[in-house]
Amino acid sequence: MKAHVAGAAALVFLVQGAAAHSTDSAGSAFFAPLADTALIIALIACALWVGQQGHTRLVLGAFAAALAVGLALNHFAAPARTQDALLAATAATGLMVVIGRRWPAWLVTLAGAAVGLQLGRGVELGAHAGLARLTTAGTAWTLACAGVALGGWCIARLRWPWSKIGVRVAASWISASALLVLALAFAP
Amino acid sequence: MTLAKHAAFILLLFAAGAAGAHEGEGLAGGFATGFMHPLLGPDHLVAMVAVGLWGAFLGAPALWLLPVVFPLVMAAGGVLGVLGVPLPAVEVGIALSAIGLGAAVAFALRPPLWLAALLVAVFAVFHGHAHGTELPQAAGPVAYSLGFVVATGALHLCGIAFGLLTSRPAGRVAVRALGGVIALLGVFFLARAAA
Repeated sequence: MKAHVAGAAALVFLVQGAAAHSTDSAGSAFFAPLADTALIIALIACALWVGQQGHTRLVLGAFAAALAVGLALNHFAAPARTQDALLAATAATGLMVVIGRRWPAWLVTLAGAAVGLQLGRGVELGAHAGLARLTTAGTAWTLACAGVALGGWCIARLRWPWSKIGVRVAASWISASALLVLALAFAP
Repeated sequence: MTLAKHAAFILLLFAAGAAGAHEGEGLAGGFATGFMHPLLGPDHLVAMVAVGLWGAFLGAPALWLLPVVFPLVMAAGGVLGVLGVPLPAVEVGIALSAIGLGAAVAFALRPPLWLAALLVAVFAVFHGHAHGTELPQAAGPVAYSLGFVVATGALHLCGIAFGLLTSRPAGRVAVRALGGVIALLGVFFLARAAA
């Protein structure tokens, strides 16, 4: 049965790969605010964090509030070096997932908030003004919160023998790539 | 592990390959380029497979610890490459990683976990440095780095999947033979690097 689930999951991944080639411009526009690799890996890191550590309501609440603050800051002030801060938050969160111990609730919440804040500051709001800009920010907030909540929920319910290790391996990949790109900020 | 589980595992590995389809969309320097980088470098490829093989040979916790340690230390090596910190004889180090890891599998070496992790970590620095020096030229560095880290992990998984054959006597011989082939390939890479 487990093998069948794994096979089905693989097929889903394959189908998702094909869907990435969709020419549905409305769909592309909907996901555009979060269509950046740095944002995506930050979301995945946060979902892994929530799924592994629990304290779901606390972390999601902090993440959602900090994301809203980040988006507001992004709207009112031109963001500077947001990707570096986002990558640092992503790498740190990923490393804590890799270590795999039960961290205190305050730290779990703080990390969720840190990723949310930097994520909000890093979202590309575009050159729109007024309502269009607000809509973009609202879409990004909704998608990010829903993604982390759904991802965290799914990860927390994984019952395969290897799932806990898989979570830590995925976190190590995310941390590694975030650290590497973060180094570019200090490249000569 | 049953045949169905093996089939599902292999299907998952193919799923990782689907990302390569993005190459034709102009994401040069992005995920596809990064993903292909370890796959197109035979010296990287065999060493990554050897890490998975050795992990499977040593069993838990090395089975999952080595593939977790490798990308993180590889990132540290990559940071050195990005920052322009010179590392002597990177190609030689990569070739030695294939020899060392291949020989460890071929001779069924079972060192203490800390020593195995240390050995893998040292080799990971060389691989990371080689990747890191190419990162600044990548158009989409985040996607590129994620691509080559995921490809590295997928190669470890390939090694682990093959290495799980050690649960059978014939499989154990096959895994050790593959380790020997990897070590010999390492000697070839070393000769090429030294030439």
